[in-house]
Amino acid sequence: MAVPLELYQVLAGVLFSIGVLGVLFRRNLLVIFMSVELMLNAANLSLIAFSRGLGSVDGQVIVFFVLAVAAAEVAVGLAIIIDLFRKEGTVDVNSVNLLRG
Amino acid sequence: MLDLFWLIPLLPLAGFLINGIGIKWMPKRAAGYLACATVGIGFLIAAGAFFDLRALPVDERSVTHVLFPWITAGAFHVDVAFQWDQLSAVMALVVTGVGFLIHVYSIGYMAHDPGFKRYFAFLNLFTFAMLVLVMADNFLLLFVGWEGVGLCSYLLIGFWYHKDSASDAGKKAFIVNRIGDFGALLGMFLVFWTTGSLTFDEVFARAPGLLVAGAALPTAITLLFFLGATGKSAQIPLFVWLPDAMEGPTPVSALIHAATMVTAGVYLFARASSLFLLAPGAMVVVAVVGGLTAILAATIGLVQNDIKRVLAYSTVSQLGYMFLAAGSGAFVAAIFHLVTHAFFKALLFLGSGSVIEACHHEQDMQKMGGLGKKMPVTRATFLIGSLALAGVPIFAGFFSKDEILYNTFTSELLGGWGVVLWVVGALAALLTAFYIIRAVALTFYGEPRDKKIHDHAKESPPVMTVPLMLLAVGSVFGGFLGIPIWTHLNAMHNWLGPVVGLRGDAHGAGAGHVAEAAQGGHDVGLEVLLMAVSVGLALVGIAYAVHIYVRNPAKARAIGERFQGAYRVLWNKYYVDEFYHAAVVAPFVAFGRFCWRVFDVQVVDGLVNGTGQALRGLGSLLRPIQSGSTPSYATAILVGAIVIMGYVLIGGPR
Amino acid sequence: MVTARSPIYSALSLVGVLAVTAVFYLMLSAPFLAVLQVLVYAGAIMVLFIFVIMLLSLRTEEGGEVMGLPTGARRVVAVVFSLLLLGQLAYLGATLVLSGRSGGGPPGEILGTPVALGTQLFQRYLVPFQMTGILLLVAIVGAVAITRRHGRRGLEGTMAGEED
Repeated sequence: MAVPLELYQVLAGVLFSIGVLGVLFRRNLLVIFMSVELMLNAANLSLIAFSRGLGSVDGQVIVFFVLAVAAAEVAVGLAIIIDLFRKEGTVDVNSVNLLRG
Repeated sequence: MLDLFWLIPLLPLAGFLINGIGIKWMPKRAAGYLACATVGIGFLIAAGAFFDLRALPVDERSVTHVLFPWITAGAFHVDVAFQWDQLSAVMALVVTGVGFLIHVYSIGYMAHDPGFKRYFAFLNLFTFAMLVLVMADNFLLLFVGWEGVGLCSYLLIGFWYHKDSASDAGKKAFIVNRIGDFGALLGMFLVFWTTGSLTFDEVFARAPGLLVAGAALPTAITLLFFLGATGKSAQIPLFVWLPDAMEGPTPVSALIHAATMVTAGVYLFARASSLFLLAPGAMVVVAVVGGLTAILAATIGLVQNDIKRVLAYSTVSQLGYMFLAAGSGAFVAAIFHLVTHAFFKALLFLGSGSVIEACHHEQDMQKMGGLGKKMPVTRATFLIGSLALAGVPIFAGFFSKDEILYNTFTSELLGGWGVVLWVVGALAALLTAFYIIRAVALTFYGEPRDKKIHDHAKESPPVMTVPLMLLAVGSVFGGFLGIPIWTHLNAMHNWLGPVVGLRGDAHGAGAGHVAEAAQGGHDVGLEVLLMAVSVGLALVGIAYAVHIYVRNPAKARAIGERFQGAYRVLWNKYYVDEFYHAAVVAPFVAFGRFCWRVFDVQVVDGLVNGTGQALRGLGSLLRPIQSGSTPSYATAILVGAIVIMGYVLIGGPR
Repeated sequence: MVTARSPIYSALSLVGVLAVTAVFYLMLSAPFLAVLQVLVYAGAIMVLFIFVIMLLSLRTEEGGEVMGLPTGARRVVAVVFSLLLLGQLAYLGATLVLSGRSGGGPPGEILGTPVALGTQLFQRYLVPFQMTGILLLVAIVGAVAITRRHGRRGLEGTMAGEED
C-alpha cells in the first residue's frame, strides 16, 4: 500500500503549522524554541519525501546538513536562553523587550 | 609723458592700498604725504600728457591704453582700458589738480581727527574711482568708476559714523544714487542692445547709422542715462542727498560734492553727446530739468543758515546750469562751467571749512559775523570765490555762466524754450549773487553775534590757506580759458570741440556748439546784450544783499516776517524730503514690516517648523512598530512570509 | 506539544514526534538519516533541552498560562495567518509535480544508504561538509562564551558553588 507522496507533504505542512502556532501562542521561551525545532523537522520530512519521489539522494544530503546546523543552533540558542534567565529571572518571552522604541 | 597716462588712476589706488592695508603701522604724517603725493604726481603726469596730446594733430588726439582684456562673452567684449583724449585730459587735470589741493588742505583740517589715516585712504580711493570714471574707454568701466565714487561718497559722508546723522546721510546718498544707477544700467543695456558694443569709439561710430534721430530708442537711452545723472549730479528729483551729505568733513564736500563726483553726470553727457543728440526731445527735458533745478535750489539757498548748506544748494543749482547747457547742445559750455565751478566751489567750501575750524566746528552763520578782521586770507579768498560764483566779470564764473546763458537763448535744439529757460537761468543768477553775498556778509562782516566764537577765531595755518590762495588764482584767471566773442581765442572751445557734440567735425571749432554750427555764425551783438543783462542782474543781487545784510541786518528779519509762508516753505526745502518719506520710504518700510510679520514669521518659519513638526508626528505614528515585543515580531515575520508565498502561488512575476 | 502545560511535557512530546519522524524516514528509504535523527535530534538535542529545563527549574506556572494568548489584534492576526499558512501548504502539497508518484513500500533499491550519502558528502558537497564542521566548532565555543559568568553572582537554581 503505497502512501502517496502528497500526503507526506501535507503532513509536513501540518506539522509546520503547528510549530508556527507554538511560536506565536506560547510564552515560555523554551517551548517556543522547541516549536521552532518542530518546524525544522517538518521541513526535513518534506525534503526526504521529495528526495524519494525524485529518486535523488541530494535531498537527504540537505537534510543531513540541516540536522547538523539545527544542533549547532540549539546549542547556541540554549546558551542565550540561560544567559537571559540569569538576567531577567524568567523565560517569559514578553520580558525580552529591550529594543523597545 | 603721454605713454604714462594710464598711471594716473593707478597711483591713488596704490595710495589707498598702502594706507588702507597698512593703516596700523603707517606713521600719521607719512600717510598724509603719501596720499597727497599720489595725486600730485598724477597731476604732473596729466599735465605732461596734456601737452603731449596738444602736440599731436587734431584728428589724432586720442590714445588708448589697454590694461587687460576684461570680459569676453560671445559677441560682447570689454577691456579695462583708459582713453586719453581732449575731454578726459581736461577732466583728469581738474580731478588731480583740485584734488591735490584738497588733499593738502585736509592735512591741516583733519590734523586732530583720530580717523586721519582712514580718511586719506578713502580719499585716495575716491580719486582712483573718479579717474577711472573719466578715463574709461567704455561704458562699463565708466560705470565701475561711477559706482566706486558712489561707494566712496558713502564712506566719506558717513566718515564720523558714530554720529547717527552722518551715517544716515551716507546711507541716504548711496540709496538715492542707486536709484539713478538703475537708470544708467538700463541705458547701458540699451546701448549694447542696439550697437553691440560698449566701447565709446565703437558705439559713437555705429550709433548714427543704427538709431533714428528722435525715435523712441535713443530718447529712452538718453532719458535713462539722465536718470543716472540726476542721481549722481543731484538734479530734480534725486538731489535730496546732497544737502545731507554736508555731514561729512568739509574737504570731502569740497572734493566730492563740488568739484568731482557730482560732475560725473555732466561728464557722461559730454562724452556721449553724439549719442544723446540723436534724441532732441529728451535733450529738451534735460535742459528743462536743469533749469528748474538751478532756480529751485537757488531759492532754497536764500534762507539757509548753515554755511555748508548754502554751498550745497548752490552746487545743486550750478549743476542745474551745466545740464541746462548740455540740454541746449552746448556741451563745451557745460564742461567749461564744470571746470570753473570746480575752482570756485572748492574754494568756497575749503574757505567755509577754514571758518568752521576757527569757530570750533560751528556752522550756523547766525552765530558768526565780523570774522573778516580775524581771518583776512580766508575772507579775501572766499570773497573771490563768491564773486566768481555770482558771475561778476573777469572772474571765472562770469565767462562760463555767460556762455551757458547765451547758448540757451540761441539754442536751435530748444527752439522757443530757449528763451524761457534763459529767463529762468538769469533769475537764478540773480538769486545766486544774492545768497552768496548774504553768506559772505553774515560770516565775515558786520557785528559779531557770538562773542565767544569771535574771540577764539583765528586765521588757519598755511597748509590750509595756501590751497585757498591757489584756488583763488584759478577762480580769477580760469575764465580766460573760454573767452567769448573772439572764438579763435576760446581755448576751451577749440580744444574740446572735436570730441564733444556732433562727431565728424574735424575743424576743431564750433562742432561742440550745435547751436552755433547750425546758426552758422555768432551773433556778437546778442551775446554782448545778454552778457550785460546777466552782469546787471548779478550786480543788483550783490547790491541788495549788501544793503540788507551789511548795512541793515534787521531788515532781513522784517522781510522774513512779512512773507512768513513763503519763508517757511523755502526753509523746509519745499518739503521734498517729507514728501519722499511719505510717498516712498514709509510704504517700503510698511511693506518690509508686512513681509517680516506675515511672510517671514508665518510662511517661512511655519514651513520650516511645520516640517519639523510633521516629521515628529510621523515618527510618533511609526514608533509603535518597534514595540520590543518579540511575539509581535514573530507575527510580523509570519505575515510577511505568507504574503510572499501567496504572491508566488498566485503566479506573480518569476 | 504546543499545548502542554509544563515545558517538560512539551519536551517529551517532541521526543515522541521525533521518533515517529524517524520511522517515516525509514519508510522513505532514508535509513541512515533515520538513525541519525534518533541519535542526534532525539538523543542529543532534546537531552539538551530537558537539561536546560531542569537547570532553570521551571515550574509549571512558568509556562503556566498555557495558551498565553497574545493580546487583541495579534491574536486575530496570528490565527488568521496560521490558517492561511496551512491552506497554502496543503495546496502546495496536493498539487505538486509528484502527483502520481508513489511514496510506496520498500523499493527494490534503497536510496539513502550510508554509502550513497557518504559518496555525495565527500565528493559533491565536500566544502559544505567541512564548513559544517567549523560551524559546530563555532557553536560550541559560542555557547561556552555566552554562558561564562564573569564574576557575576549566579541566581538560585543554577549550579551552586561555581564561582568563576
